[in-house]
Amino acid sequence: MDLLSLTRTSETEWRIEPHGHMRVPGILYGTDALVRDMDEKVYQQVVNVATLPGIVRAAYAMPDAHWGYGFPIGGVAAFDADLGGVVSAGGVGFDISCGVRLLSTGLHVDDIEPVKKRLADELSRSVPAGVGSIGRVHLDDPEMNAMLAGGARWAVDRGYGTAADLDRIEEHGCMSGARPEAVSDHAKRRQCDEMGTLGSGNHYLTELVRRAFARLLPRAALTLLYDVSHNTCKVELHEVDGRQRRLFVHRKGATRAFGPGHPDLPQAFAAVAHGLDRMEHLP
Amino acid sequence: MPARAVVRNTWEHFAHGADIGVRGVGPTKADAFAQAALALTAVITNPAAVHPVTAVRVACEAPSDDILFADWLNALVYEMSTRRMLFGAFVVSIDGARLTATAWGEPVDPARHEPAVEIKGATYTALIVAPLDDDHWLAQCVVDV
Repeated sequence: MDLLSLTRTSETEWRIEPHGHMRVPGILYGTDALVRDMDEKVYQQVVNVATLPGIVRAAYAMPDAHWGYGFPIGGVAAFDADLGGVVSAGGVGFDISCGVRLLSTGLHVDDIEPVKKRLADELSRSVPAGVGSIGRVHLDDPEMNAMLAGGARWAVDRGYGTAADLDRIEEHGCMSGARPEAVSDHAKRRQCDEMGTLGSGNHYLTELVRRAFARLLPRAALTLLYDVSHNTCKVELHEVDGRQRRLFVHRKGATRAFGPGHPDLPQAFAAVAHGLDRMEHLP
Repeated sequence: MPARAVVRNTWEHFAHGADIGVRGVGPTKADAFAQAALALTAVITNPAAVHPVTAVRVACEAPSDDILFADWLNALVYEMSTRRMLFGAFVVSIDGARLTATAWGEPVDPARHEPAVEIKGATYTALIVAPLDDDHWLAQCVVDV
């Protein structure tokens, strides 16, 4: 990216001044080297996002932003529902609620080294993956709706996880206000066979991974350290210019960064801040 | 009178970061859509290795050619996903805003087809449906894998 097209506002913050149809500025975070290495298309996509109705404050790009569909990956933008704000599929990405789940084995690398090839083979056998694969979770309509409404709690109730997992998942693995009836039969049918597979599905794999480890490394704990989604659009309350506003916050390849004591942090992490992969904040 | 260009039906891929673009060229818009569908299959496997055992009817309707094209590819992605099939031959008919098509294929055989990746959907990125010259149409977009 051409740094001359940006206004530098701090050592790691750069601004695209509003021009054309932009309603707000674009703000990019990164060192000289990171921003210089960004694709020029990131600039164009940030500019495009800044033109969308109801956008609040700015269109943001994280330090590793790169060319995506519509929004850049690593793009963050909030839209005010009361000002015609949009919910954009391009602001979430195809991998809706894709995220990062970190499990702690409790083992030392020396424990794993002798069996790592067998472990990889066991994981490959245990986790259905790729075109044509079928998961082991099959739901009828009522169960599909229960899953969509209940999220991770639904999975734990059916033995696909533990109650302790829930405290380590953002939002406890369940978005309140879910309306399964609003999801098309078309989408539900596609989801049906993809559950419990790696690829398009990517859901409910933890138990498969735990079982694979248990067969070879029975001492492995596989406790969930943290789980966070980085492709989301959530309704959130934020104070902007001294006023509480209900915003559609899009994070595409970006996660929230909670400071210490934030009410949405799991109790175990109450004293620390987090930002497991890409971080963002709304000023 | 100028010589008429050789009519061609072709498909190809084009690069896009971690994903891939599919492009079809044909003497009609419908032919270009069919060629792009072959390019879609070729992201996963060799289309020639897919036996035309079963016919699946696909229909979609959209307000513009480019949206119709994305919908067409997404309809195929859906059929591949829910039927666990691959398709290797396509006949497409377009009447105004409406597309009807038949896709021939067979169930995925991992050993024989050796599927490389799974396609999640067709996107509006690099989405173009337009006459290429006096004799050909182009249809293309990036697909998410």
